[in-house]
Amino acid sequence: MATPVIIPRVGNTVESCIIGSWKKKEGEKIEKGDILLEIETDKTTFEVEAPTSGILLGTFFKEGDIAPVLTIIAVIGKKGEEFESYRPQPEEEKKELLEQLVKEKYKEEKEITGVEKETIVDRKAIGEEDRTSGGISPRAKQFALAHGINLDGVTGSGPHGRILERDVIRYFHTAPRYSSLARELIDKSWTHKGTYSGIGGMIVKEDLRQPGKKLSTIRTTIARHMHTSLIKTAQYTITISARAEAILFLRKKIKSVIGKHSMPDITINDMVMYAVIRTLVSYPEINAEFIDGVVYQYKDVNLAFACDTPRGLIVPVIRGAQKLSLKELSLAVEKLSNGAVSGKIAPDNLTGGTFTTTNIGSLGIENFTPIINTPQVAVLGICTIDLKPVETGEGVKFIKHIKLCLTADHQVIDGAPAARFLVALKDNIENFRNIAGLNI
Amino acid sequence: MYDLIVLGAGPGGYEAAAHAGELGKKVALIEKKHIGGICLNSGCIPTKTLLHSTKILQVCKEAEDYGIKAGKLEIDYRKIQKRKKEVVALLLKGIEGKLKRSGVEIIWGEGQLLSKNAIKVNEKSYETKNILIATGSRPAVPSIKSIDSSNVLDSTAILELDKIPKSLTVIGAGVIGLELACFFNEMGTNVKVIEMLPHIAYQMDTEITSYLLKSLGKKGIDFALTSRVNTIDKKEISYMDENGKTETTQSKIILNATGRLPNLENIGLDEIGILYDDKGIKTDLQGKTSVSGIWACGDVTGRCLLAHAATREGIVAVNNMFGKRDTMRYKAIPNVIYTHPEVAGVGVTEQMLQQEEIDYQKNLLPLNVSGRFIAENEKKQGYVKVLTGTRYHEILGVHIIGGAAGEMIYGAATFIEMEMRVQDIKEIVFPHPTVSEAIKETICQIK
Repeated sequence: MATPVIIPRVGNTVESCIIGSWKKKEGEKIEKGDILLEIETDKTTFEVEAPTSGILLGTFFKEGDIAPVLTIIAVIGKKGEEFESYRPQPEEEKKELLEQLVKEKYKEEKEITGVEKETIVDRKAIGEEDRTSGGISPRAKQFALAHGINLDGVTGSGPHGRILERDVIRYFHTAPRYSSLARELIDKSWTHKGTYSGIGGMIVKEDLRQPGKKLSTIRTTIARHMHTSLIKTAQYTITISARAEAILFLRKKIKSVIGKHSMPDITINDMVMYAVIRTLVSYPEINAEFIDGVVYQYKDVNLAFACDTPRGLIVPVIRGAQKLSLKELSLAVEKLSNGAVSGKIAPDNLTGGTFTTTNIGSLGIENFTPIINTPQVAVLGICTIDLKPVETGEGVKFIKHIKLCLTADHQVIDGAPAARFLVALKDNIENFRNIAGLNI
Repeated sequence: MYDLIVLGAGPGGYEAAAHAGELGKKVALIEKKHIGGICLNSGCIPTKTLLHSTKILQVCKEAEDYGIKAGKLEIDYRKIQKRKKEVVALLLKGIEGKLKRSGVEIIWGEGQLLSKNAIKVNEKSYETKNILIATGSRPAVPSIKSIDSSNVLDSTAILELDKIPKSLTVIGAGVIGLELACFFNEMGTNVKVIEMLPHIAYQMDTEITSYLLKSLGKKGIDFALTSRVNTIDKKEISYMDENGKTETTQSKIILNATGRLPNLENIGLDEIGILYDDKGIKTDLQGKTSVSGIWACGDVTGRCLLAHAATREGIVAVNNMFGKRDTMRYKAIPNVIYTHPEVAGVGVTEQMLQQEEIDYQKNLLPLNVSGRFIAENEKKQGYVKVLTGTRYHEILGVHIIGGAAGEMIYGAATFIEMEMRVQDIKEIVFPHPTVSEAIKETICQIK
């Protein structure tokens, strides 16, 4: 006879698990004790062993599916043996079945008006058939029938989760009641906030929250990426201010000659990025990736830059940026930004970055802690230009400075090398004329 | 050591005290003047008694419309006043009996909090585990020149007049002002009402109150809305009308009905550090004040100046202090104006929905969709207005003018408390023929 494999109960609060990867395929021969698959709960991952030897006849859930505990997930038996009858019924069918039962019950009542007929114990309707172990005590069953309770919602406190009368009584007194509006809203995917504000603890509209908006695919990717970055790295941020007179002076000059001599609109951001590239060339430890315990340092600077688009954050990459002149860089940034904003950017232009810059200084931000675009090891945040008091021979003067925030992964970059890079960058910005290579 | 000492024996305080007593707690109730508070002694109950007399007068005057000749009518104001006192006395007996049965001890005097566990009354100190402050409110006195003249009365003093005045000016068209204006108008007084806002009874639905305004105007009450009283000089009141023009009016008696102020003084709030502002003592939805063990309910909290709200707040506080979690809900507290015609409303008003930009559906029907209303109301009109949500058609507000509006409104309060939808109410059978059928009809027409 075939043997079903059941998701074990792994704790009192765990109601369902996510099916992880299957270690055995359908049709494969297995030995008792072999690992069949991994299962995830919200807290941990555990392995399910084969309860017996034989052929893995069928599996009922795919990786990523959610299955309630105590559900049959696979069947082991002899080759060719029937196993479909073990397949758990999907929720939809279960609901249909219930509706069918209710309909039949009404029909019966209509047919036999005035004649008392013995109530047929509707085992499915009270959820009894869904229990695979523990069972239900007869007194609990009786109470449930008399009070019209569907035992699906009841947690058993007896041995092996056996439902006792006290469990059903407690459920009867504590199970939530809903206003008719609240019930309709729950049907429309509103969810319970955990409060009970109506009469006698009834769940009313204010206890529910409106259906949320599922994240877009791109947002999901950003979310996962950002979260992974914070989990898997040891990020810290250091800040420095660079005198901005040189870049501001150049910007002013450029503005006056835009269009002439094919001069593009080179922005402050372009200049800082250009300085970053020039600096990175001398600091390959910052222009690097850290993957599975191995550091990869790069000579080529593939500069990624964060771009705010209507669909969310997009990070285009300028490959071989160290080969570009300031003009070429400015044009490349503009082209990639436009592509990112319009959504027409080629996927190849979104991968392979070795270092990232992000600029929210244009919005007036004075300081922030950018998050590393892993597996890169550092990211530069470009802040606003602001006045800073500086002690000079002629007393204190207010001089325009641009603030730069470098977040680095302490796993591979200590504070001092990060600081040295940032100081070098500051020098390049303050003496921008020396690296700009522009004749204006 | 008491389990609870209640400060103030109005409808908030005495009901809370009785409730705690019924729970088997040792309870004392401190009162300086009257058991029953403003509500019983110079508010809800006396005014309803007076208004019923003029209602009878109206019925007699209109009797011919129903085929009855009533003959010459005479008003016996002394008898009316006597009956008022008898009604109050009877109800007082009822409350005293209730307090006695629930074992509440009454301490006469003014209570002052010494600490969160002690109250001083007449130089004697009482220890307690909990204190419920229910000191109520009093008429507010606006800063108008000569508002303290002897002919300017508040709502308490005007009930004690031994003669019906020839003329009366009411400052403030809130519930109190309107009810008293209605009473004196029906008694034959020349009544003028001056209100600062462009609407009467501003907390009620303005569409419904516009019918009330029309109705009271027809009876001869003269309204000056969007008008502000400048000065009072003996009988002469000078006010700025809606066009900014200064007008004057003469009247023997002036009623100040401009609102109410919480009684916060001499209780010891500052000494103990209980948070409050001009509106009242700050409480949460369980009735707790900022000091643990001290609770407050009713007008003194400024949350909702209605006797029935005070009672519920007091009971909520008592439940919470003795271990039963309970929460005050304000979304379904009915409001009633006992004018002729009567007005009642519960839930949100249309102006609230518009202000908060909430989508809604609305239906307004005349009460004469009800057979009983037509049978009993010759030459009279009334309306029901229902407001529901657009998507789920849940009942948000019900407002009625005419018929026994105040007696019907609790049904609508239930609909709102239970968050019922139009389709749920369709399943409820209303008695026929009754005026309440108009409510069902109005609701059922909403699709």
